Amino acid sequence: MEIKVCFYAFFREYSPEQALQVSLEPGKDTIGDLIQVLKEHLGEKFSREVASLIKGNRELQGLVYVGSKSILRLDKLSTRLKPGDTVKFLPPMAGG
Amino acid sequence: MFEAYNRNLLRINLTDKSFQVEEIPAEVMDKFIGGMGFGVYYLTREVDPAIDALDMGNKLIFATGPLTGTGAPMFAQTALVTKSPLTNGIINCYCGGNLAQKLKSTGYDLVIIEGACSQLSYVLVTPDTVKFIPCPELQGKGVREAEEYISAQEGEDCGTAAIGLAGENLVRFASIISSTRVFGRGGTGAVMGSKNLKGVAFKGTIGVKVHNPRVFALKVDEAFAVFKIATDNPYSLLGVFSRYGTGGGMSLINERYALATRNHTQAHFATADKIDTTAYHKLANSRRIACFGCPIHCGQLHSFQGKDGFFTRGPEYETMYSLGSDCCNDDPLVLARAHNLCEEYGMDTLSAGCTIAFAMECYERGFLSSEDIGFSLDFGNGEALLKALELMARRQGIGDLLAEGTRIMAEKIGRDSAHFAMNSKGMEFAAWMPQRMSGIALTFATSNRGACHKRGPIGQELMGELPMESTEGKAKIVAGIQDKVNALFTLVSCRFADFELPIEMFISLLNAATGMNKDVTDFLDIGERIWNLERLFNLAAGLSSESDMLPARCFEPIEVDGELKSLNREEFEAMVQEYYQVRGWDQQGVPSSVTRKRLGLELPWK
Repeated sequence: MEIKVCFYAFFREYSPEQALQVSLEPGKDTIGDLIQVLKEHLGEKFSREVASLIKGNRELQGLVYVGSKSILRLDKLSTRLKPGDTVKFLPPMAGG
Repeated sequence: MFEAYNRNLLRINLTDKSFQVEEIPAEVMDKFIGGMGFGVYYLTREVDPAIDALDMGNKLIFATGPLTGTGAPMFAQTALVTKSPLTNGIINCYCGGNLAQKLKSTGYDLVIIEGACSQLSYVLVTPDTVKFIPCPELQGKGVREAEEYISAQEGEDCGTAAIGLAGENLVRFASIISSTRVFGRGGTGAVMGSKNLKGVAFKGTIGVKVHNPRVFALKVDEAFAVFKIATDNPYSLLGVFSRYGTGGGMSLINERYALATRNHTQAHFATADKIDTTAYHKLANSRRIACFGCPIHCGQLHSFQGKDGFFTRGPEYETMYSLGSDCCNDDPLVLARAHNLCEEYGMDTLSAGCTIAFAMECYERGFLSSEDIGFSLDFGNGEALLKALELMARRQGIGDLLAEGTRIMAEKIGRDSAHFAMNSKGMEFAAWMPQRMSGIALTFATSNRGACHKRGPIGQELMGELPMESTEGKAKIVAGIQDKVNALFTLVSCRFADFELPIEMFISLLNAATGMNKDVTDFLDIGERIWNLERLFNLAAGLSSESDMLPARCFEPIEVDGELKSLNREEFEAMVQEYYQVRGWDQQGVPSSVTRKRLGLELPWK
């Protein structure tokens, strides 16, 4: 299954490309699975600062969106993806 | 008697160069606490709502709160209350830095400035005296130069604030600036200019005595611990503000289709990432800067190298919208220079940018010609944007019209320009889109300041805690935020503190510092009391329920990721009526006698 992954703002420090096309194997279709694939693809910095933190970091989960919804409002790391979904890593914001 | 106060106010009369000290009654402390509460209480008692804001009868009230100058984190702001020449209503605004702590160290909790100087002057306040110092040599000078001059004369341990050319020229959205921190909105700089007052300086050494030092220190430690956890987390809101400032979140707003672009005709700016903070980190040498006692340090200083090198504090997110996306300007250097011009001349970047975006649309539609303007004022034309700002501050040529703001401009230009003059009560829109966020629509419509973003459910709507578009339940939520933020502004808290600190902790700090015994209900009641007092002042000043309407553009369809969406006018109007009910106001938005009695509001005017 093909998923598009987009990085914004400071998340672009983790990826040389702003948008990636990622293939997920059958049966490996959750956000948690996607993070594992990205960890292998993007390397050490992403692994240390995102992949290893996301399970226990509610705020970070709130910054990962499937379409227009944060995974915090869906099923967190167990959120199921479907072909053609776009996953976005966005910064937080309120006022300013 | 309550502690943590000086218990005195200083009244300065510029006309006869006199001053007097007055005791602040304990009842006023109890009912209004400080900061915004003090400012609104004294202004509504002492200023006739019907006068012109630039009349000598208007007053400037600088106020601190009981936590100012203590070790409690994120209470560095000074409140300023006056009558606004932009909205014709009351305005409260806030400036960080160290001004509040310096003001309080002079032995006063607030300073009321009346009358007008016979020639351009600044005022120095110390614990012993007030000096009125003529400064004709500062006429037309920028804010930085004026503040440096005053510091050179009076010592670097002064807290200073000054106006620039825009304030002297009575630009309706002129600001007062204190060491790169700004009393931004509503034209307070024009009020200061109308008084021939170039600047103020506070210099003292008086400390703050709290009621229960042991408990207070404990509560301060607890507050610091909350902020430490937040800033240690790179993904929390304050963690991001700490690293990137407010401009770090621009792409979220853009991807949620809520970034006002091209005078609010679009909700997405394709090249937004060229002007967010991460872009500035690549272009400039950047470092962080904090207000007095703040562990967040959300300020961003950028230094641009080269023969025309310069530095800026900011732009903040709001400016990235107003002088950026709303004008279709994606050049980060033009944006930084535009921001710097506003700081030098002392102008609100929000109103300045939003006004230029309006003028750009007027030019595009042929309502203003290149002969009227003197040049081509196209969207995205950076050179024209900078030129327009210069003319605005100088009130030269087309700048004289621009300096009036969008409401008066639309009245003068006519045709149907009012429908896309993006203001509420005359104040230009802050960075958020009523078309996309119904809570923001209600916030902009009902704020006593005009289109102000300080008291709206921005984060909740953007981050998905609340639906962006549905109006259901928003009336109660917005009223609740307005009351809460008003209460916090009595302290005077930074707006960002309550993103992490629970309301109970603010109240614990207040009680330990003052010896008060307030609970959450008492505290929120104070916020509601202030809100209603401001509303009554505005009604007496001539505002009405019609002033709670938004420009027609807010109800027109806008493209959201390929679909057309809009704010439904009937639903919006029903939400406003529901808001009036929640507030205990009648259908015309007038606080009922029952509500006034419940809040203990006495009206000194009819």
